[in-house]
Amino acid sequence: MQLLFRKAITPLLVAASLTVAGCSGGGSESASNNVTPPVTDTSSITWTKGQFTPYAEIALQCKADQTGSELTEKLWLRSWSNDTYLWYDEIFDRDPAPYTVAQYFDLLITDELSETGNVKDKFHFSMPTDEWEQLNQSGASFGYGFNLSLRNASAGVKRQVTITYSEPNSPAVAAGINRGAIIVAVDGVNVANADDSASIDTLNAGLFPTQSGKQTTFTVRDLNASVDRNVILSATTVISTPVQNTQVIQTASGKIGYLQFNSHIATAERGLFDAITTLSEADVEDLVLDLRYNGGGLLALASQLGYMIAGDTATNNRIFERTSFNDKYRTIDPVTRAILEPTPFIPETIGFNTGLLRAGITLPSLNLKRLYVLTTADTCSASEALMNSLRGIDIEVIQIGGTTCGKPYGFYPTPNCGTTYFSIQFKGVNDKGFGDYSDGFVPTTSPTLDSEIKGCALSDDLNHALGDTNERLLSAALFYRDNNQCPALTSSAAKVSAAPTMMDKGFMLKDDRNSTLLKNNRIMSTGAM
Amino acid sequence: MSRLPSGLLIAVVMFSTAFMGCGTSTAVNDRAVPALITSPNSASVDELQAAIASLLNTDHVMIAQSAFTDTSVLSIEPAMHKDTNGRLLMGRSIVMPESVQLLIHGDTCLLEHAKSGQRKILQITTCRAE
Repeated sequence: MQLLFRKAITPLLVAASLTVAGCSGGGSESASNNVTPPVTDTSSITWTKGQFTPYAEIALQCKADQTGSELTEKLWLRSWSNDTYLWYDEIFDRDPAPYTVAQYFDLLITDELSETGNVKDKFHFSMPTDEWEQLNQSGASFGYGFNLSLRNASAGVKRQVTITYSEPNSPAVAAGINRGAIIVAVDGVNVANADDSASIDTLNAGLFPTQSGKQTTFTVRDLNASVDRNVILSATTVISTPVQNTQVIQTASGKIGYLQFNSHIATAERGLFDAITTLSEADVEDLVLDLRYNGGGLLALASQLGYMIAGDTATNNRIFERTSFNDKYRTIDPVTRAILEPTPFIPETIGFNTGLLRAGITLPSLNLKRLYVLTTADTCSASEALMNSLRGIDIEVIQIGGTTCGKPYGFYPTPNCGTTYFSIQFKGVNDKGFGDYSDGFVPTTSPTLDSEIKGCALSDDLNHALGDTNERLLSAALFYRDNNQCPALTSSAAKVSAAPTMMDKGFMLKDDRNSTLLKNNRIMSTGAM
Repeated sequence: MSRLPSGLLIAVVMFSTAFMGCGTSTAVNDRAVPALITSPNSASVDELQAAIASLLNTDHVMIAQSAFTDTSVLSIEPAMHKDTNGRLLMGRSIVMPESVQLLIHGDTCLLEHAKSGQRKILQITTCRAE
């Protein structure tokens, strides 16, 4: 018992340690450099191949305020990476002299490939610290309340913007804009045909507003409609509903639960609690968990949901996830210095928002032996951890949809000299020790690799509402349950398509609002969101 | 079945203890009770955002106009920064969200940071007991 709760609070203790270190009182989850570095004569610091000054000793020695120089900033990055980067021994130790700070950071990364030949590290970022430290009400974002699928133009493919879902109580829903609607034009600029920078700017400004009250005229073709209509939407702060669409599907072979889980945010704890309670009381025999748009968030929520799916017996004394750092830190966290302990399946409420749900209540559970998961490339991070953790305790996961994003990694965002750096520092592994899914979880009828999961590779179906039993992925899950095989594909659109190979990046639609100055030289956008 | 309550309690205590001494403490009256906003408007949103930012020692906080209209407690999380593929930068977060609560004492509306107990008196925002 003691061991169990010690494991369970590890994430919380990590949080406490981090925040106390900075005494910022804020919600920033950054590691801190708020230690007073020893007074160092920066003019004497030089690069010597293979020799690394402890990064704490050269932190916060910045060119801007003349406490340091570009060289000290680069050497800090080099030492920090050498100490904490997951693949530190695969970084080529270059003389920083020819490079800017940003250029040098981009080089402090492995050049190795994954086992399947893809880029090994796809997650290497930096951004201004003041931008990173923005805090929001849980689920708050700025816009109209619709979420978009962006298909940028490429050879033989027209640009298209389609609504994937709309948030309840949002301007989009008030205007009747729902899943499957195509945005034909924005402020008079045709989406498919825009071919100059000014037009693309108009599209991006309308789709991704930055000013409250900004009014934009959208020409919309609703799903199954034969004519367009114009709608004027006013941008505002929208609060997302992370758990939606809970329903019990009655089939000839039994009752099946369906649940749309879009984001691991604080308010989802109450949503998941209520949803699983509903499905438990309905005595469902299976669950179809729709994670197709869930990019992750609070890992503890994934652990709680794992408990709620598998139940007490299956999860007791089992590990949800174990965190693994580089081989310099086999037993302690290099940032917090806490002893590494595995995260269990959390069986109680944590009380992320005590106004919605207090802490310490036993979670409901479905006690299932298998789970159907609906996925796309937007299924990422904590969502993948949930899938992996359940497989780790022998819950059968059946995957319907697209390959997931492939992010078993995490980092402590670390600020230095006004920039916050994100460099992969740890990997999560399940109870069986597996965490190598950097190319994503791949649904297939005949799995051979551990990252391949039995199921059906299908593309998202924007022509049906989420939760509609005729929607391609949900329909396939129900079919698979009855027939133990995937449905026959009836159209090429149902197949998961490869990313376009050629795209004019000057004419791309993209939401840059939260990544205005984000540096990310490793990822080239595929145009899909 | 209860595997966690003692541990969670310890964690909460640790958080509370950890934050004592961070920033200045406002004198408080313990008879303040949870409250909801009565007339949310852009001015009250601006005031609440500024108060939350001050309590959390940050520059930028965004809340909706509907904040504190249904519940007195608001959870605050890091903005969901995304990469150029539209995917979350921090998709596996191990940090507890912050929490602030709207309170009322007499005719005065207050905002309280759950961890530190620090409070800010609100001048524009109007509220009533929850």
